[in-house]
Amino acid sequence: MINICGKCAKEFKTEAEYCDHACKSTGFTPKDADNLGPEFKKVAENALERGKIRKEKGKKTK
Amino acid sequence: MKKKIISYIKANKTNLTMVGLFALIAVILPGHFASAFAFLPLLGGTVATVEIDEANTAGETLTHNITNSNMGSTDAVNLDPVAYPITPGTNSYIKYQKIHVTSLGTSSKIDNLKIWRTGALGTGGTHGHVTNARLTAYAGAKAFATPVATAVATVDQVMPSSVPATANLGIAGSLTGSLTGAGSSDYLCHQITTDASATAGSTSTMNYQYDETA
Repeated sequence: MINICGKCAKEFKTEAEYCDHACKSTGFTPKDADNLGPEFKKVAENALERGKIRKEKGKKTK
Repeated sequence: MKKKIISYIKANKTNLTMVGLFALIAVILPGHFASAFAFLPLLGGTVATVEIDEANTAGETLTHNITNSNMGSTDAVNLDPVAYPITPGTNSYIKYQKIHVTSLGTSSKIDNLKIWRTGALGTGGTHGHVTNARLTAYAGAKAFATPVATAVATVDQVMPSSVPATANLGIAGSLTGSLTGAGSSDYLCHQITTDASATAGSTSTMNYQYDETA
């Protein structure tokens, strides 16, 4: 399998190599949330809120 | 996360009409950003980093952090739907996409994956949008196969048009699966179907949702 960065188009032999590269297009590694741009902040916040609500519901049902 | 998808249907040999545009839930990123921004919604922690990937070609070339999910008559990531319109009566090439956690940050879990489309499909005939995502009787992780423009086994569910009540895409073959480190979901497979009367296109949005537990 070939792994390609969708932003800088660089190819990698492994997913780990992709995750560790400093993308020339974004200036960040794919592990860094900043790599996904400012729009991702809201996505992450919403995901955390949903996770928090489910966790609290789980505690109440126990 | 959201991504826009565009697809066109070739109405006839002389007239090209836009057919279907979707938007996958993925982040649409500008090509370049100059400055960093604060990413600390957790107290003293960092959020998980999650992207959408797409696999193409016989050798399973995996493109990470895709820009869009345009549907068309070729097996390619971020395809140009004008150059590759869907001929009425045929299907688009199937998409193999997955939610990829590149880093969990200081969170403990990613789960509850929900996939749906918002917005109508094209007019002038019957358009469909099928997927392997489903709420019950999940068929397990779908293995990658060279994308085709014909029907694919287990990719036969209607793509939801609103947020599903529960998870409809699995992790490690299970709808109750979770990621507790870097890793990916099962492949989400989806495809546009048309009949011979399909003439007009549409724009819609595909949504990819996950829950994150701090």
